[in-house]
Amino acid sequence: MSAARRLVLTWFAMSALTLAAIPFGHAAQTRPLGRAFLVALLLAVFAKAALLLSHYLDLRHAPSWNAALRAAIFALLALLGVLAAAARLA
Amino acid sequence: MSPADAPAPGRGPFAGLPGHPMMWVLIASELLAFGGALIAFSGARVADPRGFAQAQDHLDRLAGLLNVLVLITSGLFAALAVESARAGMIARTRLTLIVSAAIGCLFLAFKAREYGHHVAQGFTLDSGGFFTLYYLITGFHALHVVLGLIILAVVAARPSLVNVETGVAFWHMVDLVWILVFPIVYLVR
Repeated sequence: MSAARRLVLTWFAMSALTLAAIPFGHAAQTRPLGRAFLVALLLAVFAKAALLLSHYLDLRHAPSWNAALRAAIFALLALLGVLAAAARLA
Repeated sequence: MSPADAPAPGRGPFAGLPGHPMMWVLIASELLAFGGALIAFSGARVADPRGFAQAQDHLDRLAGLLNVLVLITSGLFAALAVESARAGMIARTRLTLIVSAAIGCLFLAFKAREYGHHVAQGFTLDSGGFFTLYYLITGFHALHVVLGLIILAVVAARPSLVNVETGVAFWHMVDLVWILVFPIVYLVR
Protein backbone atom coordinates (compact mmCIF):
# COMPACT_ATOMS: atom_id res chain seq x y z
CA MET A 1 0.00 0.00 0.00
CA SER A 2 1.37 3.43 -0.90
CA ALA A 3 2.05 5.97 1.85
CA ALA A 4 -0.57 8.36 0.45
CA ARG A 5 -3.24 5.65 0.39
CA ARG A 6 -2.36 4.59 3.94
CA LEU A 7 -2.64 8.21 5.15
CA VAL A 8 -5.99 8.76 3.40
CA LEU A 9 -7.37 5.55 4.95
CA THR A 10 -6.13 6.80 8.34
CA TRP A 11 -7.95 10.09 7.73
CA PHE A 12 -11.19 8.21 6.90
CA ALA A 13 -10.93 6.12 10.07
CA MET A 14 -10.21 9.16 12.27
CA SER A 15 -13.07 11.14 10.70
CA ALA A 16 -15.48 8.23 11.28
CA LEU A 17 -14.40 7.98 14.93
CA THR A 18 -14.87 11.75 15.30
CA LEU A 19 -18.41 11.63 13.91
CA ALA A 20 -19.16 8.69 16.21
CA ALA A 21 -18.17 10.83 19.19
CA ILE A 22 -21.29 13.00 18.94
CA PRO A 23 -23.90 10.25 19.59
CA PHE A 24 -21.53 8.76 22.19
CA GLY A 25 -21.39 12.12 23.93
CA HIS A 26 -25.15 12.56 23.89
CA ALA A 27 -25.74 9.02 25.11
CA ALA A 28 -23.21 9.52 27.89
CA GLN A 29 -25.60 12.08 29.37
CA THR A 30 -28.42 9.56 29.82
CA ARG A 31 -28.73 6.77 32.35
CA PRO A 32 -28.34 3.85 32.82
CA LEU A 33 -26.37 3.42 29.56
CA GLY A 34 -24.33 6.53 30.24
CA ARG A 35 -21.30 4.86 31.77
CA ALA A 36 -20.95 2.30 28.96
CA PHE A 37 -21.18 5.03 26.35
CA LEU A 38 -18.64 7.14 28.26
CA VAL A 39 -16.21 4.23 28.04
CA ALA A 40 -17.00 3.84 24.33
CA LEU A 41 -16.38 7.56 23.77
CA LEU A 42 -13.01 7.44 25.54
CA LEU A 43 -12.01 4.27 23.65
CA ALA A 44 -12.85 6.02 20.37
CA VAL A 45 -10.66 8.95 21.41
CA PHE A 46 -7.84 6.55 22.28
CA ALA A 47 -8.18 4.80 18.91
CA LYS A 48 -7.96 8.15 17.14
CA ALA A 49 -4.88 9.17 19.13
CA ALA A 50 -3.24 5.79 18.39
CA LEU A 51 -3.88 6.21 14.65
CA LEU A 52 -2.41 9.71 14.73
CA LEU A 53 0.71 8.52 16.57
CA SER A 54 1.31 5.53 14.29
CA HIS A 55 0.50 7.00 10.88
CA TYR A 56 0.45 10.82 10.95
CA LEU A 57 3.40 11.11 13.36
CA ASP A 58 4.91 7.98 11.79
CA LEU A 59 5.93 6.38 15.09
CA ARG A 60 5.56 2.93 13.51
CA HIS A 61 9.33 3.09 13.10
CA ALA A 62 9.90 3.98 16.76
CA PRO A 63 7.85 1.24 18.47
CA SER A 64 9.07 1.93 22.00
CA TRP A 65 8.12 5.63 21.72
CA ASN A 66 4.84 4.69 20.10
CA ALA A 67 4.02 2.28 22.94
CA ALA A 68 5.09 4.76 25.62
CA LEU A 69 2.97 7.59 24.21
CA ARG A 70 -0.02 5.27 23.73
CA ALA A 71 0.30 4.07 27.32
CA ALA A 72 0.50 7.66 28.59
CA ILE A 73 -2.60 8.69 26.64
CA PHE A 74 -4.47 5.58 27.75
CA ALA A 75 -3.59 6.32 31.39
CA LEU A 76 -4.68 9.95 30.97
CA LEU A 77 -8.02 8.97 29.41
CA ALA A 78 -8.58 6.34 32.11
CA LEU A 79 -8.02 8.97 34.82
CA LEU A 80 -10.31 11.44 33.04
CA GLY A 81 -12.95 8.71 32.77
CA VAL A 82 -12.71 7.98 36.50
CA LEU A 83 -13.07 11.70 37.26
CA ALA A 84 -16.10 11.93 34.94
CA ALA A 85 -17.68 8.96 36.73
CA ALA A 86 -16.92 10.59 40.09
CA ALA A 87 -18.61 13.81 38.94
CA ARG A 88 -21.78 11.83 38.20
CA LEU A 89 -21.78 10.39 41.70
CA ALA A 90 -21.15 13.77 43.32
CA MET B 1 11.28 -0.61 4.54
CA SER B 2 12.59 1.91 2.02
CA PRO B 3 15.75 3.91 2.83
CA ALA B 4 13.57 6.97 3.40
CA ASP B 5 11.59 5.09 6.03
CA ALA B 6 14.66 3.89 7.93
CA PRO B 7 15.25 5.40 11.36
CA ALA B 8 17.94 8.05 11.56
CA PRO B 9 21.12 6.49 12.95
CA GLY B 10 23.18 7.81 15.86
CA ARG B 11 20.46 9.61 17.80
CA GLY B 12 20.45 7.40 20.87
CA PRO B 13 17.03 7.17 22.50
CA PHE B 14 15.55 9.45 19.83
CA ALA B 15 16.39 7.02 17.00
CA GLY B 16 13.36 6.44 14.78
CA LEU B 17 11.60 9.65 15.75
CA PRO B 18 10.97 11.95 12.77
CA GLY B 19 12.43 15.45 12.90
CA HIS B 20 14.78 17.15 15.35
CA PRO B 21 15.02 15.44 18.79
CA MET B 22 14.46 18.74 20.66
CA MET B 23 11.02 19.00 19.05
CA TRP B 24 10.13 15.74 20.80
CA VAL B 25 11.22 17.16 24.14
CA LEU B 26 8.90 20.10 23.45
CA ILE B 27 6.07 17.78 22.35
CA ALA B 28 6.41 15.69 25.53
CA SER B 29 6.34 18.80 27.72
CA GLU B 30 3.31 20.21 25.87
CA LEU B 31 1.42 16.92 26.24
CA LEU B 32 2.20 16.95 29.97
CA ALA B 33 0.94 20.54 30.28
CA PHE B 34 -2.32 19.87 28.43
CA GLY B 35 -2.78 16.55 30.24
CA GLY B 36 -2.45 18.38 33.56
CA ALA B 37 -4.92 21.02 32.41
CA LEU B 38 -7.49 18.38 31.43
CA ILE B 39 -7.05 16.63 34.80
CA ALA B 40 -7.58 19.99 36.55
CA PHE B 41 -10.70 20.60 34.42
CA SER B 42 -12.12 17.15 35.22
CA GLY B 43 -11.24 17.55 38.91
CA ALA B 44 -13.06 20.89 39.06
CA ARG B 45 -16.10 19.21 37.47
CA VAL B 46 -16.22 16.74 40.37
CA ALA B 47 -16.54 19.71 42.73
CA ASP B 48 -19.35 21.36 40.72
CA PRO B 49 -20.95 18.85 38.31
CA ARG B 50 -24.24 20.74 37.96
CA GLY B 51 -22.58 24.09 37.28
CA PHE B 52 -20.26 22.53 34.71
CA ALA B 53 -23.16 20.74 32.95
CA GLN B 54 -25.18 23.96 32.74
CA ALA B 55 -22.21 25.92 31.40
CA GLN B 56 -21.33 23.14 28.94
CA ASP B 57 -24.81 23.45 27.41
CA HIS B 58 -23.73 26.86 26.04
CA LEU B 59 -20.87 25.37 24.03
CA ASP B 60 -21.29 24.78 20.31
CA ARG B 61 -20.63 21.04 19.92
CA LEU B 62 -20.88 21.29 16.14
CA ALA B 63 -18.13 23.92 16.05
CA GLY B 64 -15.93 21.73 18.25
CA LEU B 65 -16.60 18.73 16.04
CA LEU B 66 -15.88 20.69 12.86
CA ASN B 67 -12.59 21.81 14.38
CA VAL B 68 -11.59 18.18 15.02
CA LEU B 69 -12.30 17.39 11.37
CA VAL B 70 -10.44 20.54 10.28
CA LEU B 71 -7.30 19.57 12.21
CA ILE B 72 -7.47 15.93 11.13
CA THR B 73 -7.74 17.04 7.49
CA SER B 74 -4.95 19.58 7.90
CA GLY B 75 -2.86 16.84 9.51
CA LEU B 76 -3.44 14.61 6.49
CA PHE B 77 -1.89 17.21 4.18
CA ALA B 78 0.96 17.78 6.64
CA ALA B 79 1.69 14.02 6.67
CA LEU B 80 1.55 13.99 2.86
CA ALA B 81 4.08 16.85 2.88
CA VAL B 82 6.50 14.64 4.84
CA GLU B 83 6.08 11.86 2.26
CA SER B 84 6.70 14.35 -0.56
CA ALA B 85 9.82 15.67 1.21
CA ARG B 86 11.11 12.10 1.61
CA ALA B 87 10.57 11.58 -2.13
CA GLY B 88 12.47 14.81 -2.85
CA MET B 89 9.45 16.52 -4.44
CA ILE B 90 10.06 20.09 -3.22
CA ALA B 91 7.20 21.81 -5.07
CA ARG B 92 4.68 19.22 -3.89
CA THR B 93 6.03 19.48 -0.33
CA ARG B 94 5.50 23.24 -0.37
CA LEU B 95 2.01 22.91 -1.87
CA THR B 96 0.82 20.35 0.69
CA LEU B 97 2.27 22.42 3.55
CA ILE B 98 0.44 25.52 2.29
CA VAL B 99 -2.84 23.56 1.94
CA SER B 100 -2.33 22.17 5.45
CA ALA B 101 -1.79 25.67 6.87
CA ALA B 102 -4.76 27.10 4.95
CA ILE B 103 -7.05 24.43 6.39
CA GLY B 104 -5.52 25.09 9.81
CA CYS B 105 -6.58 28.74 9.51
CA LEU B 106 -10.19 27.51 9.42
CA PHE B 107 -9.71 26.23 12.96
CA LEU B 108 -8.92 29.74 14.18
CA ALA B 109 -11.88 31.16 12.24
CA PHE B 110 -14.32 28.67 13.86
CA LYS B 111 -12.75 29.26 17.27
CA ALA B 112 -12.96 33.06 16.95
CA ARG B 113 -16.63 32.76 15.95
CA GLU B 114 -17.27 30.54 18.96
CA TYR B 115 -15.52 32.95 21.35
CA GLY B 116 -17.53 35.81 19.83
CA HIS B 117 -20.80 34.01 20.59
CA HIS B 118 -19.74 33.28 24.17
CA VAL B 119 -18.73 36.88 24.83
CA ALA B 120 -21.98 38.13 23.27
CA GLN B 121 -23.86 35.85 25.68
CA GLY B 122 -21.88 37.31 28.57
CA PHE B 123 -19.60 34.33 29.20
CA THR B 124 -16.08 35.59 29.88
CA LEU B 125 -13.04 34.41 31.85
CA ASP B 126 -14.81 35.50 35.05
CA SER B 127 -18.03 33.54 34.39
CA GLY B 128 -17.36 30.70 36.82
CA GLY B 129 -14.98 27.74 36.97
CA PHE B 130 -16.09 26.09 33.75
CA PHE B 131 -15.58 29.10 31.52
CA THR B 132 -12.33 30.10 33.23
CA LEU B 133 -10.84 26.67 32.51
CA TYR B 134 -12.51 26.50 29.08
CA TYR B 135 -10.91 29.78 27.97
CA LEU B 136 -7.53 28.87 29.46
CA ILE B 137 -7.35 25.42 27.85
CA THR B 138 -8.80 26.31 24.45
CA GLY B 139 -7.02 29.68 24.36
CA PHE B 140 -3.66 28.07 25.14
CA HIS B 141 -4.37 25.52 22.41
CA ALA B 142 -5.34 28.26 19.94
CA LEU B 143 -1.99 29.95 20.64
CA HIS B 144 -0.31 26.67 19.71
CA VAL B 145 -2.33 26.59 16.48
CA VAL B 146 -1.03 30.08 15.63
CA LEU B 147 2.53 28.99 16.44
CA GLY B 148 2.03 25.84 14.35
CA LEU B 149 0.84 27.87 11.37
CA ILE B 150 3.93 30.08 11.62
CA ILE B 151 6.16 26.98 11.79
CA LEU B 152 4.43 25.46 8.74
CA ALA B 153 4.99 28.71 6.82
CA VAL B 154 8.68 28.81 7.77
CA VAL B 155 9.10 25.14 6.86
CA ALA B 156 7.36 25.70 3.50
CA ALA B 157 9.97 28.36 2.77
CA ARG B 158 12.85 26.01 3.73
CA PRO B 159 11.54 22.51 3.02
CA SER B 160 14.51 20.31 3.93
CA LEU B 161 13.47 16.85 5.15
CA VAL B 162 14.46 17.48 8.78
CA ASN B 163 12.67 20.87 8.77
CA VAL B 164 9.49 19.37 7.33
CA GLU B 165 9.50 16.41 9.74
CA THR B 166 10.15 18.71 12.72
CA GLY B 167 7.51 21.30 11.84
CA VAL B 168 4.90 18.70 10.94
CA ALA B 169 5.54 16.81 14.21
CA PHE B 170 4.61 19.99 16.11
CA TRP B 171 1.48 20.39 13.98
CA HIS B 172 0.41 16.81 14.71
CA MET B 173 0.92 17.47 18.43
CA VAL B 174 -1.52 20.40 18.13
CA ASP B 175 -3.95 18.03 16.38
CA LEU B 176 -3.52 15.35 19.07
CA VAL B 177 -4.19 17.82 21.87
CA TRP B 178 -7.48 18.94 20.31
CA ILE B 179 -8.51 15.29 19.84
CA LEU B 180 -8.19 14.98 23.64
CA VAL B 181 -9.65 18.40 24.54
CA PHE B 182 -12.82 18.18 22.42
CA PRO B 183 -14.53 15.19 24.11
CA ILE B 184 -13.48 16.15 27.64
CA VAL B 185 -14.57 19.80 27.43
CA TYR B 186 -17.51 19.57 25.00
CA LEU B 187 -19.02 16.10 25.44
CA VAL B 188 -18.21 14.39 28.73
CA ARG B 189 -20.28 15.36 31.74
